[in-house]
Amino acid sequence: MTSKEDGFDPTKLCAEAKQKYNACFSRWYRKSFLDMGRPGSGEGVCQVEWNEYERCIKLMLKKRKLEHLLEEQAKLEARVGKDSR
Amino acid sequence: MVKRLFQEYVYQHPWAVVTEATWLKYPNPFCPHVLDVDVISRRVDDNDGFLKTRRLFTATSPVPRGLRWLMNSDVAYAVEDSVVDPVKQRMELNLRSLTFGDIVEMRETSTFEPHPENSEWTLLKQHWSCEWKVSTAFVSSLEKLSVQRFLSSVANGRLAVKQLCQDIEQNETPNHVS
Repeated sequence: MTSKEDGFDPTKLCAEAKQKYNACFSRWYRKSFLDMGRPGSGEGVCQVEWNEYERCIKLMLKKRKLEHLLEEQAKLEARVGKDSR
Repeated sequence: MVKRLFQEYVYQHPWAVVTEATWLKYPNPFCPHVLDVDVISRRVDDNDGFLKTRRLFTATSPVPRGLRWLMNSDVAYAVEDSVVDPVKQRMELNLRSLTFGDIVEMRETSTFEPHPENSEWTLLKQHWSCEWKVSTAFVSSLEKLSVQRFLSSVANGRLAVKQLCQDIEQNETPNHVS
């Protein structure tokens, strides 16, 4: 199931990146998001850990032919943005 | 025909703890049919300050082995869109199945809010619906199986969340339910 075409094992890499991201997110959720109420706009949520994790996610979605989930989300956000103006 | 169920449940833990546990809930040994969950997008909305997340659920097929001719895959996907309002303390999760859409469609909406009579507790409301679109003699059996699977996953899922709540409150840093 895992592809090793280019020596890249997405399952293993994603597991590590995911664990780091989830650990960071849990801390942020508890200490920043819930405590502060509304964090400043533009603040990235665990940006460094997310960048690593997102790399794997995009590959995984592509392999499973589920990239449209990201596009759908982008369209939804664009429409919401329009409505709220 | 759409089969619908509604359930309410009270966690004797604060909303902040229960919602934090919800992010960590899967995978867990109590719910073996959920193989994995991945965040595919997440942001804090600039306009309302809500946390908006999209997650992908990978699960075992909802179809029993004997009926696998209906679906030619062992794995099913679902997508969950969620919104968390940290000020009003409200979390809403909307899950819908993705795969085999012409055969079965499953939806689940869960809301978490502080309990109206005890602010240290959390009230969970779950709306679940399932529609099998096949016209075979098996439909009512499939519906029954889906209901059973939902009820047992809900009960088991609560065990997982309760354990995580205890870990969080004891100031342990849980990664996942072990």
